[in-house]
Amino acid sequence: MKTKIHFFITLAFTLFIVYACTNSDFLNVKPNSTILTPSTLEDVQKLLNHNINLCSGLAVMSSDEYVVNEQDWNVATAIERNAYVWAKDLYEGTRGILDWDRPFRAVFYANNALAVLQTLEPREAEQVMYDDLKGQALFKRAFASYELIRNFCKPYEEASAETDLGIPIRKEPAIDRLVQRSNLADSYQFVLDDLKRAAQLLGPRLGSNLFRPNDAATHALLARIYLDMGRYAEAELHADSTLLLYDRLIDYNTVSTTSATPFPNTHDELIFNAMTVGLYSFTTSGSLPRRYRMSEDLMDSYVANDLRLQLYFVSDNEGRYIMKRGYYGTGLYPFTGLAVDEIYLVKAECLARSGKEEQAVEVLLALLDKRYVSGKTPSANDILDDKTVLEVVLEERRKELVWRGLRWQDIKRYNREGYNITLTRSLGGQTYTLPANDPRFVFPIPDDEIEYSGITQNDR
Amino acid sequence: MATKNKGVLSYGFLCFMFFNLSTAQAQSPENGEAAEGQKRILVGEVRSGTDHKTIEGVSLRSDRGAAMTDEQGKFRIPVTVNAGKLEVRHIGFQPQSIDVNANMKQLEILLHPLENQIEEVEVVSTGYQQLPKERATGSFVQIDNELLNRRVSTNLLDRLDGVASGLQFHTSSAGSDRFNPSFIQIRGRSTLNANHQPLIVVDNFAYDGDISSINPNDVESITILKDAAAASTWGARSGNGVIVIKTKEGARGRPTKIALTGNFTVGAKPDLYEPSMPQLSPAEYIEVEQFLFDQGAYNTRIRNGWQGISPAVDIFRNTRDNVITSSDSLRMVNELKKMDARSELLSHYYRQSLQQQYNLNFSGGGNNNQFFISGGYDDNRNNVVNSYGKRYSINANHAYLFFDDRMRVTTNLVMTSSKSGAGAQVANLYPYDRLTNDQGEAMAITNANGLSHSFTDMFGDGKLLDWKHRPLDELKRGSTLLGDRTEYRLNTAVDYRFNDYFKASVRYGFEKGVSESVNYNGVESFYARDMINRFATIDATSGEVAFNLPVGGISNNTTNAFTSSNGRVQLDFAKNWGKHELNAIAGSEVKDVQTDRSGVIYYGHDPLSLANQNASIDFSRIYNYSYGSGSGRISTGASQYNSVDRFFSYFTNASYTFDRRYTISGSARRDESNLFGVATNQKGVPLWSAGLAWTLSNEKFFHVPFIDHLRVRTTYGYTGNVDRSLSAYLTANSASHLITSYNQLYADIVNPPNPSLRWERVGNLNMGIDVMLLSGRLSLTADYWRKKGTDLIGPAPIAPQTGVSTFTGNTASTSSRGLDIELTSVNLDGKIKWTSTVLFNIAQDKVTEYLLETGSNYTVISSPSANPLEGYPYWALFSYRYKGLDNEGSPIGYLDGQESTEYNSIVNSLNREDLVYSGSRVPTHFGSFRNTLSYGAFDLSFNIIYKFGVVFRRASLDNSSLYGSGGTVTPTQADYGQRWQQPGDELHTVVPAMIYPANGFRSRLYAFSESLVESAANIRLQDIRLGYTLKKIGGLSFTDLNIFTYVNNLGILWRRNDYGIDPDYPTSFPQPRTYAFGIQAQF
Repeated sequence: MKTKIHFFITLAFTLFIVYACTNSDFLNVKPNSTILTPSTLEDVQKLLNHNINLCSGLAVMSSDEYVVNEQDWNVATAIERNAYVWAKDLYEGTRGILDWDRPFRAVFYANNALAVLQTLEPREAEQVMYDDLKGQALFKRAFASYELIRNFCKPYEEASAETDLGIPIRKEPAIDRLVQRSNLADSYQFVLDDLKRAAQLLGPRLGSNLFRPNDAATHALLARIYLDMGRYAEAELHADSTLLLYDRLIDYNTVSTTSATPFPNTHDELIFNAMTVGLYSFTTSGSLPRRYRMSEDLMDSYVANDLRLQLYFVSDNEGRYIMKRGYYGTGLYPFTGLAVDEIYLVKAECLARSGKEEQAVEVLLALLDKRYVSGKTPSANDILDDKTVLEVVLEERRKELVWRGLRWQDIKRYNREGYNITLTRSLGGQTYTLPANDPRFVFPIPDDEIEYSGITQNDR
Repeated sequence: MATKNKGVLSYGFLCFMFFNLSTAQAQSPENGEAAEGQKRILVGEVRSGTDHKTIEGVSLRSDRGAAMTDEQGKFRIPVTVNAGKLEVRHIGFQPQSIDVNANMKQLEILLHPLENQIEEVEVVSTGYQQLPKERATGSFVQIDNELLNRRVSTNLLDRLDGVASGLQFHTSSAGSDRFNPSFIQIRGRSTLNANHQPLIVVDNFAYDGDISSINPNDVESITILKDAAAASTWGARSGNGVIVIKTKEGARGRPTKIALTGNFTVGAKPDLYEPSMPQLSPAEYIEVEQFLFDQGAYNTRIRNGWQGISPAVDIFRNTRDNVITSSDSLRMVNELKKMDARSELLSHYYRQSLQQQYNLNFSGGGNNNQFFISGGYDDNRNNVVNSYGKRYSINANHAYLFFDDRMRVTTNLVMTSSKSGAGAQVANLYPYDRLTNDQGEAMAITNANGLSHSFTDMFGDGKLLDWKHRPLDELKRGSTLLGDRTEYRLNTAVDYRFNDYFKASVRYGFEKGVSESVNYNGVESFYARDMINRFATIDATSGEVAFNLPVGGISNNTTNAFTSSNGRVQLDFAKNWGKHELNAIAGSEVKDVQTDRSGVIYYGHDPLSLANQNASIDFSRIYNYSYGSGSGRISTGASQYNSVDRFFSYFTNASYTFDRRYTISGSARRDESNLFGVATNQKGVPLWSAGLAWTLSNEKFFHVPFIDHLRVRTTYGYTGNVDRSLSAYLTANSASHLITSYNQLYADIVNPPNPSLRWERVGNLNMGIDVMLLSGRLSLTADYWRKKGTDLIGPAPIAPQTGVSTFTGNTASTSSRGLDIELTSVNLDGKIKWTSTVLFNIAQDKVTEYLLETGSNYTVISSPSANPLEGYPYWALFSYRYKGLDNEGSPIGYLDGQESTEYNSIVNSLNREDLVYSGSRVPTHFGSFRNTLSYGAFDLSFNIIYKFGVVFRRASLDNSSLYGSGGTVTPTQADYGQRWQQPGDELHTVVPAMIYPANGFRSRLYAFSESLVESAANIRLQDIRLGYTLKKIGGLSFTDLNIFTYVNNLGILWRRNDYGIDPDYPTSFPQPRTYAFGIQAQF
């Protein structure tokens, strides 16, 4: 009897231990349902669906599209105040600068998506989706990397691009590897390569989700980047490619001028949706207190029949203008994505620069026709007056693409070409100036980045 | 691969132990009373002379050897057949010396408690073993049944408050706010973000259910394990200490006993006029509203037409628009000033609480079994009308013995069912709001969050549902929240004793709990009517109303369930020979806890047929609200979540005692878990402890006549802790609420890969002394302890180019230390007996390493626990330096050491020099003073609880919260009368002037200034209990009948602050006083 019991108890012990030790799956179970260890194409799509299309707000805050008064300036945060007067010390010790961090987060997500894709072997039926996901990841990595280049690096000069500092190029998701800054030529090349690969992988605009890039978006971004680099022939080429794939404009006569949010989240003109980080009260439209007013010289350039005046802006009690809402739905922050109107203007500018002035005017008028009250669109003669076609195009560029984070970039580009634009602000009797090509046109790299990775700071 | 190796090893180890014991068995053929030469084995059992319960851990010594009684009080000891003495000793009992003679067979020894000594439970329970206290090296606190029953409460843990040394209760308010945390903790805080609550063990297994499901009447005793030696048996979950709950059992060979308990507790209504909940008087409130009205603060509201404005603002508007005359206006305002919403709340919304508790149990046992069966019923009527809780519990505990008592099979089955209900809340009242009109009928109110009467009267042209909010009707027909929780627990164990030394046991525990809650908003409730109207579409031309949300009830249902399975195999070894005592256990356990949560909302719900009309709703559509410019979706409320926690552990611990003078102990444990998801061989954490104890009073050289017992002990070792939120893999959250503005699900990366992630470890040092003096008149236990939390999981900064700005890993450390002293003195021991117990505890902790440099001073001040500073406690309270007011009533702060009124810069300064450390928000010095007196059949006890070394932040006039958005005035303001009003006031007040519009930074400077920090030190008379025990009523005889009355929350005897605020409840209603009456009878 006793032996039997001894036997059973030994057996129970044995079985228990053997079960627990051999059943190694026991401890490999996922701890909870909200944890996703990305492993399928759908998971990759979910990673890329994250709103990682965030751009810097610094470029909007530093540009000449708005003014603030001394009182509002005084109660603003350090970065807002410093960005407004182009102070040498922009961050004043503030850490966690989203203008720098968010684009790198996008790169991190894209790299994770690419890393997961690399481990997957798609079935034949999945190949299209697989390619599209890869294209999306490459596009988003390029979009974010270019966002960093245009804010934190000197303007592109072919002669010095090999020696000018670029961005840390991150191609892998591992967070334990830190990367030093590449040169500017390599940084641009990295972005252009990604986009050119993406252009072959991405399909046409699908459905209403405009956080998701498409083939037109890659060409639109290439057009924007080549324009910025001053490579106008290539910019024109990609503008053409974009418009070949997608060229719808909205007629502003069909848009409600009384609605607080005239543009829906998805509308015909949008190619790719992105916005600035929602941090700065100087760039927040819609919510109170609105601390800024649009620059008077800018507002003066709109004529009465220009529908943009009523769609883009609202006036306060004192007749001064502030931004209504973004170009995308209810968004409070500047739209920084890609849209067809920008591509029209890129094309018009490239045409004008290459001497095809008539064609340039034709493209420009096609756009303006959708912007003015029906039948009141100015004629070519009206708009040209005594200005050159290029001057007119650039002026329209400023008016059309207002509050889209492009103006700052344009000023840098124009100055590189000798336009010699000096920015000035006056606050409480003091005048601040930013001369053309001043090193303060390049934003400093945040202190925490310098501290933890030791990359080289910009001269400012 | 590594696992398998380890598995084979441990299997080999266990088998080795087993075969060893088999041979040990074969080599010791002595059995029963078989004599062998001059020596024979004497068997018997030891019981208490007072209650006849068997006593475990009694030391016996004969001239042939030594022994100790087992769990059933049984012993086997070699003796010389016909001569010699048997010495029987046990702490707290009179030692006995018995002459051994040949006739002795089954010896029953009755031990009598030492005179002048309160009976103590001398066996500590760790959940793995019963350990005689005199052999324990670690730090334990025991709460016996009597102490546990001193207090009347539905919740078990409440009964430990103020009686368990080192256990800290910080219950500031029911819904604790971030400044006044609510928790229990043992010996300070040794973690940052991981679990900080003690591990609760019920009948040998970690308890995963809700503590409120345990009926306190079924609990025999509670042991609190505080240091490494005590707690490390529980391994990776023991870093915060362990509370071991042991439920009641029957007793073998004892006639059936019946025990009946019944009590009821009456509690006062809350005092709405408490200084901790200051309110503007109606007159002050109207004054503020008038001020705001004159500033134009209500213009937007008045203009949009639908937003509610208060009755007073309505009068101001009508006066301004010449709808009423100024004399009418004055009269109407004066009428309002006479109102007092609080008195209406007291008569309609609050009531006296009433709690009833009944419990009946049967216990006893035959020769080979024992049982305990109980049933309990609790019925709580809470302070707020419609709010109640009920609990039904059944507990059946059986044990059977087989094969000459070698095998013991126990089963324990517990079932608890709880139901709770809560009605609609009455919130956001204006101080002059009326709930009833002069006829006593329910009145409609309009509040800042609601719609104006003029709007609801007209809008929809009568085609919408009634849109008025009548709080009193809501109490009858409004929303209700019904909770229903069922929990059952099954524990089975088979113990088998191979011989006198070895025992093997297999245990299995299963728990399942399901709790459902239904938030039902009938079609008559304001919630449902408001939502249905809001989502209605009114045709602009025809005025026709289309209800997009079906007209009917809205039922929001959520279900939470958990299932927990625990298995354990264990070998016990216990042997005494000569002067040696060796005890050891080794084993392995496995645990699996799964939880499931789900929820759904039913619209157009009919409570009778349970039909709903969800199918008719377009949940994806964004509806424009029927008024204003808002829009929104109708929420499906559909959600699902599940989690799985798994552990696999090996453990061993052993202690060796020489000559009852020296004890050394050691333990080791290894845990593995699925939580981290790393390669299995990295999952484990080895935790260990070592301890030493020296009983000086058993030394031959020790001759101090007045010291009965003196023992010193020390332990060192590691306990662990788990942060369930982390994983070593790249993990992303893809919950269903993560939807982009384009309606696409997205995944949020929670955790970048971190293969080196480890468990948190807490190093523990404990040094203790136990002394008993003057024949047990005075006993003292003192422990000095130090804990170091290392590898704590905390955020650390990383270069942002990686894509993450912070990275969470084993980067932080804490250190804490303190003192636990418990002193018991028998002051009088004649006809009147008087015993006092003093508890004195110190617990101080600080964060010693925290790599993430937090942001502005405001983040440190407003959420210090999320932004700890190195060198300060986790619950530190920081403030802004504050100079006072300038001659315009504006507060003056400091910026970089200089006086300043640049509020934005002060508030967001990064200069820590501008911060003032005001103290700890958790008491660092605390304890109690408990007295028990008895005279004849009467007994009286009372407990005084004290807390020192703690501060709180008092609420004052907050300019920014005073006027919320759109001019809403928040009435909960103190110091309104003390505010700066005219030049010169700055000489005697620090309360800033009211300005309009409020400047948020200016308000923050004052609200978080050092001048609002008060000491929370206090001494309170917690409770008094008076009992009367009798043995007989008429012809009916009892073993015991105790009638008692118990008064709780008697009041504060002394407090440091001058504002009359109960510092334990600085921003909520203090606990109302309660009166309980009850009876405890045993037949």
